[in-house]
Amino acid sequence: MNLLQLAYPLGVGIAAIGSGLGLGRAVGSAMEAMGRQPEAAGKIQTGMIVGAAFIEALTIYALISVFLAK
Amino acid sequence: MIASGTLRAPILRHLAAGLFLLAGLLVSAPRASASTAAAAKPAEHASAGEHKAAHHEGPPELPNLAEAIGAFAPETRVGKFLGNHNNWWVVRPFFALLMVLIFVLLLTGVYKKRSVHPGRLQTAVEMVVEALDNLICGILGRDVGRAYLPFLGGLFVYIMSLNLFGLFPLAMSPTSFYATTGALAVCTVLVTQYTAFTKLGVKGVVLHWLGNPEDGVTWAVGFIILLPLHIVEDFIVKPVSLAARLYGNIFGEDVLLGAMLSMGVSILVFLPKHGIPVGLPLELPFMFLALLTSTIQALVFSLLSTIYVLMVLPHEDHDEHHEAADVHA
Repeated sequence: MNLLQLAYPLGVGIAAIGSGLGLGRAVGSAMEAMGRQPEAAGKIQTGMIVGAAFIEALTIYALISVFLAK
Repeated sequence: MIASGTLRAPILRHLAAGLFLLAGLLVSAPRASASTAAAAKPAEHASAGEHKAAHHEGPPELPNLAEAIGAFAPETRVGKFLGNHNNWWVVRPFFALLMVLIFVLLLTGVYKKRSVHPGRLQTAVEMVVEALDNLICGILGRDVGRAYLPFLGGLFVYIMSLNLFGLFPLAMSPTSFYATTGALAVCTVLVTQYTAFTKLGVKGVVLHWLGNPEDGVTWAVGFIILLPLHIVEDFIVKPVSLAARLYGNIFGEDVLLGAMLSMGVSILVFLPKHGIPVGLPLELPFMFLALLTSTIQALVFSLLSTIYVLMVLPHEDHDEHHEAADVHA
């Protein structure tokens, strides 16, 4: 079993932990804000989607290293 | 045909929609046959050293038109040329240029036939332009926003259509390739730097990079910390992050579709095929996810480009170096 082949999915998995925590906080705050002021839900949702894309991108960078190495 | 209601009877309309869906499902399954046939070919032609096409390592991807031509007609010169994976530099810009051609034809047609009472196509295009106008002028302000609306709005529409193009059968999204996304990011960096140097001047740009220093301490802090940080951020971090985000999302989505599709074909491997591989449409929910991801990634790219342009415009506030020191400290 090649240890290097184990490293790539493990790296992506560790990056996904951080993304999961960050996304949970971001979307949770967005939900709370939407609950406080439902008429601003459109703007909050747009901002949440954009923020989620940024946080998701960090895991995607780890995934790219898998593609670049193979 | 379905939406405009020329098919009067509702049953016929539902039947037509069902037939389109079924055709889409059946068309998506033979795409795996091209990749498996292309992988099986070099085992037979291993002696012929010239044809070493289609045996590429790497994550599974959905085959596109060029690979299909290369797999099904490997004896012709065109098939040999297109099936060879070393000739990717012909295939990948081809789809991007095809998209540009489609857009140019569509928009020129709309522009020539424009009128005060717009038809359906003109209304659709105007809706898109107005939504982009609201988005970009809301961030940049009226004057600058209108000046940059062609580039930034076009970036959004272009990237979204390039991303979605990969979902068509026999087509690939050019953004699932690092060179296309890198080129788009370089375009954004060029526009941002051009804006900075024309609106602020060279002296203004250097002062902006130093964080608008006012006394000796902030000069030293600016030279040692802020200047290298800003240069690295402007020329390395921004384009690489833009390109990598878009490339990773779209290529990952394509790989996911390819893996799901081969899994769907391999589930029904016990069925007699008579030359046509049939597979379960396991990739269908991921195609819907790909719709969402394509739009969101295009929006993020263009929104980030807008914000990068906004950050080099001259600000009105004078305590910007306090903000810069707070950010980088």
